[in-house]
Amino acid sequence: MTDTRPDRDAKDAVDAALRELKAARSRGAPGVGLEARIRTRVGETPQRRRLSLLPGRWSGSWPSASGPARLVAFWSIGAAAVLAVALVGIVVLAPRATTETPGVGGSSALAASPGPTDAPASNPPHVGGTCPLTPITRLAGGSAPEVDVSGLRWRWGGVPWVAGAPEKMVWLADNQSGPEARISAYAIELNLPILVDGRPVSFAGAAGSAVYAIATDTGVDELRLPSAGCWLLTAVWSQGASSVVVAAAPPAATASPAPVTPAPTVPSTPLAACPATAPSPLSLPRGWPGQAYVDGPFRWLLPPNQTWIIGAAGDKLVLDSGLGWGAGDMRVVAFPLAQATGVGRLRGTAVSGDTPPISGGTMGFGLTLPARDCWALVYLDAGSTSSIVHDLRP
Amino acid sequence: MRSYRTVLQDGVAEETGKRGLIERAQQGDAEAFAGLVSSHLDSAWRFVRAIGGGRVDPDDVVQEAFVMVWRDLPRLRNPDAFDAWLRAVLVHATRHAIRATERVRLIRIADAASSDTLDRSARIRTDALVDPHPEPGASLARRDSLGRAFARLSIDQRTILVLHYLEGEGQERIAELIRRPVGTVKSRLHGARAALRAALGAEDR
Repeated sequence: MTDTRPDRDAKDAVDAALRELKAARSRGAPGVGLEARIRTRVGETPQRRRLSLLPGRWSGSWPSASGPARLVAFWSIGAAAVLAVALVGIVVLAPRATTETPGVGGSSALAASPGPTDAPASNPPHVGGTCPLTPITRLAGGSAPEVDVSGLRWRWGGVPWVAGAPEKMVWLADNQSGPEARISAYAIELNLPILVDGRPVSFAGAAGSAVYAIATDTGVDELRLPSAGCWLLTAVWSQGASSVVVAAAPPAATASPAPVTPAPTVPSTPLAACPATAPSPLSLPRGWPGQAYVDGPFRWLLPPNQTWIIGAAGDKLVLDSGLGWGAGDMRVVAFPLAQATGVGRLRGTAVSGDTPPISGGTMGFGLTLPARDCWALVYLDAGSTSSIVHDLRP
Repeated sequence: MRSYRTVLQDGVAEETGKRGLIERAQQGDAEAFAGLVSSHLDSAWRFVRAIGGGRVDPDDVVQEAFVMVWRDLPRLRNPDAFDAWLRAVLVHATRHAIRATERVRLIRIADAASSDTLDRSARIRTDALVDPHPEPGASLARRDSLGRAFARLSIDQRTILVLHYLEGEGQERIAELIRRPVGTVKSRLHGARAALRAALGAEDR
């Protein structure tokens, strides 16, 4: 017999631990309302039927196929993907070249509709954990970056964003040829590193959760970001809210973090009327007690105002995505809207939501709001943003 | 006193009724699926809480798992394999949730009043597994230590320990569930016990 006393003690400790775990297992219970939530989700989720093209073994559908079945499945999916890409190329790209309205190039592109000189554009590849720059939709006039998001087109001058330097910005609402007349824009620094010469450089702590008013009631403006770093810009107008993420480089040629002088706080007043996003009652799932908002491929489900717990963890804010959740770096940021008398730092601060617990299907973001106010709620990840405005005021 | 025959008949009726629910749900009957959810919700939740090691919210994982089950149920060829399949989906959903949690980074807001809220989800909730409602007199330190030790294991190690020691499944049954030979199950059980022993030792130090 080779057993020694310490080994036996260790075995006893493991068995005792497992017994404790077993005893504790019977305690605790699913959260109240979980069954109702599942019913709601099931009611809006279509079932997948068995595909006759695939071999029976694979269509038995365990979470992970294996061996030859997986090979056949991947081959089938690959073939379907190639077909889909070919179809998209034929159906989408071909008409696009002929339907764009004429525009003007060069510097005047800032106030024009998409035109024939526009070019597709893209950001540098996203590096996980760094500033999730909103993908550029196109280069208007061949040089002005333009982003279409949440019913608004953001178009800027085409020079790199630099802290403190002016950047010409035009906001154009969908279906309008000219700039949207009354836009208020806000900026919140995300404490994420930005890429400088391909290297991630952190400017964390420069602005924290401060909210800046960077444009008030205008459609064309020169924006100045207070410090270098990763910035979330949100524009609010009568029809909704729209957000982009941009990176501002330090003003000097060197990329070293420079000390930042805190910007003065500008006087502001609560908004007389909160430009709340219109709810989408048709998108409300059966049994959901709150409100639903639709912004592009995203659907927001908010708890009822009266049950939203202020100043403490409460109900979750729920988000569905028609795009799937593969982008990573997901987060929700909320900040109170206010009417600023000028450009500068506002009194309120931004708050961030909890990490979503699961990737796939519906996301629940716990969000602790410190006050009942007119809140802009922004979801962002490495590939997209979605914004709504919600009035929590009594 | 119910006779053995009555008990047996009840068991057969229950199995037949469950199979009927599964077959109806496969045809798209949401009410039948709700019946399946009701009868499996508690056990599914406890299973996820155990194998999640405090890193995931079992409510959210179970919700997503049942949605996956509903979506793919028509593809389940053998309704008698439902329980095993559900277990596999729960493990898959838990694994996915843990990976998602590890991938996601939080925004650090330096001077926010709610910084506690920001950090909360980043912490491993070691009390989630062991006992959210401890009986009076229970040793808090012991519970925390045990929870942390279990959370140190990989999800595969937690799963096999939970299946064998907490759910009481035999090695042959586990082999069916995880689709591996019995020899592999024995080896993994041995490895998981050794890992738990090491984790307990590390917590004691």
